[in-house]
Amino acid sequence: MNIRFNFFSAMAYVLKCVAITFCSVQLSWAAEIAIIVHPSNSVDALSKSDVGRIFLGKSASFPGGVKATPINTPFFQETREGFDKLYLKRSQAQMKAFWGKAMFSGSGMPPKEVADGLAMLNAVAADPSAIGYLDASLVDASVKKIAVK
Amino acid sequence: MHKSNTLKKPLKVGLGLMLMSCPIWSNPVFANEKVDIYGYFAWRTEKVWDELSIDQNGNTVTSNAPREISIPSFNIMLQSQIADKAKVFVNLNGADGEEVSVRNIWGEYKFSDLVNIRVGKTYRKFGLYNEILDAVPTYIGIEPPELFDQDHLILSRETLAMLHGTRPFGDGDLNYSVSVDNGEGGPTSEDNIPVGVDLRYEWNLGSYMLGMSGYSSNGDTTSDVALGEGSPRSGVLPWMSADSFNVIGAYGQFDVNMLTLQFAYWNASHDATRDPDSIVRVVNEAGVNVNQRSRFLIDPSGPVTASNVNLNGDYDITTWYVRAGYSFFNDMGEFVPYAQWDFYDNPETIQNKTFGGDNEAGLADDGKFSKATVGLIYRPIPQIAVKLDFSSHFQEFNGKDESYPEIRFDVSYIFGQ
Repeated sequence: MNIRFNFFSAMAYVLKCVAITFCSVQLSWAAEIAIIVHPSNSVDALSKSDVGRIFLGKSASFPGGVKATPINTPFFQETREGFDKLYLKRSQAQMKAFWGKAMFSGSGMPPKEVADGLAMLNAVAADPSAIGYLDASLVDASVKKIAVK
Repeated sequence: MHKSNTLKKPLKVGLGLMLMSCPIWSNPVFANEKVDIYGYFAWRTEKVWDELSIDQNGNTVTSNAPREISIPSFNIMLQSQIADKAKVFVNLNGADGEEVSVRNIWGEYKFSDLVNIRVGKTYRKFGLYNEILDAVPTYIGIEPPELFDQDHLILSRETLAMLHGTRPFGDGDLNYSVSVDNGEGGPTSEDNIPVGVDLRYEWNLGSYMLGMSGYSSNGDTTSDVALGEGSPRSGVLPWMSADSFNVIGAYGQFDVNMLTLQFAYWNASHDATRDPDSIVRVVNEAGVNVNQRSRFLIDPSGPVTASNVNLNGDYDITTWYVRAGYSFFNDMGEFVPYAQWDFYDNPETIQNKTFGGDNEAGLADDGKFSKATVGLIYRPIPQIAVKLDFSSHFQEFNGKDESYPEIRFDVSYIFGQ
């Protein structure tokens, strides 16, 4: 079998598909995301960068030195997608690649995951070192919502 | 000197059983520690069309290479934080359904963010790919760069000890590493210790990264394989009696929305001496082209004898790449189209892989080739990746610009993530 293909035509087609998709992508997440910690946590406010560093494993503690245990919801859930985009500045695929690199090189493991917002609420309420996020409408007195500058 | 990192048959069966019954699960020291086990299975088939060769009349002829189908391979990794500041990592690879090799086994202690010491068999931090190369074909989805193509590595990937750390700097983080070497055949008369370094700056929470890496053999060293035993797993060709070499390069990666852009440039400078008897064997048995013969022999039209071998084997390797991948989703799953361009120039190598050569650069008249690739990864679910890509190689062959296509198809399954 002697198959030949026009390489540059194939490349042009792929680039065209990418361009069309790029232009049509819209961020669907619009609800407010609340960052929450345990009520006993003395932290009242964090910067976006602080939140990002904790959830990317670049920092293991809150500013001030108290241990921080980040908790995620699963990939591709609406809140997770919005959080990753807003605070970690990455798409879901890029976050999977980020943690894939960390895991396959042995340099780290992703945060523990809980199933949904309710599970997040329970997990943060049960762990004094926890930090998580959820739809702001789900926040109750069992956790503390912190300000993000 | 040949070093093998492969577990031989008596250990193969036992290894799986050992893992399953490993005392790590029951030892009180680890009783409260979480051991993460994950990895992937991968399968590949590839085919090259219009492979170039020269017939008895000196004319260029082409032929289709037989399709290559690999037996599914796997990587199993174990990672455990055994104490607040200490962790261990193991990476086992099984290829061709025959042998299990220990790719990595190391422990690390964290004194501070700035000072971490890792001891054991580990991939050095070097550019964008060395540490994650095992997973590249299946997960990241972009082919390994020519820098780390297993047929022509420009340095050893592994090290026995590495010091690394990070500290905030400006709006980002500055990361460094210093590693010693484990991959060469060993020093000749000098008791030298090779050293590798990596320095990278990440900002915008690591979405943007620029870095540079370097490596020095720190004196003469030798190949890790004997002539006729295949491709070296380090930067020294097997027909050199001594080679002092340095590698330096720079790289960058930018994640912008759903687009990932990468680039790198590398140069390896070799101050080498050829072994006359090895060169006689290469010229007589490996099949070299006119340019390669001219490099190896003082008088290319003279007899192939040790006294006619040009002992000066100094040469430079240059390689660079640019690549881009874009991820998007629809109801069917995730799609990642990508494109890349690689260039590689190694004037010293030959085509014959059995003799330590490289079928790409060694095929070209002048040791230079470019490779353009487009591909698509499809993930119906996050754990499964199906990848199809096309490459076209461009090089000068038998005095003319020639190209030939290649197609690769991969399927992989990631578990435990």
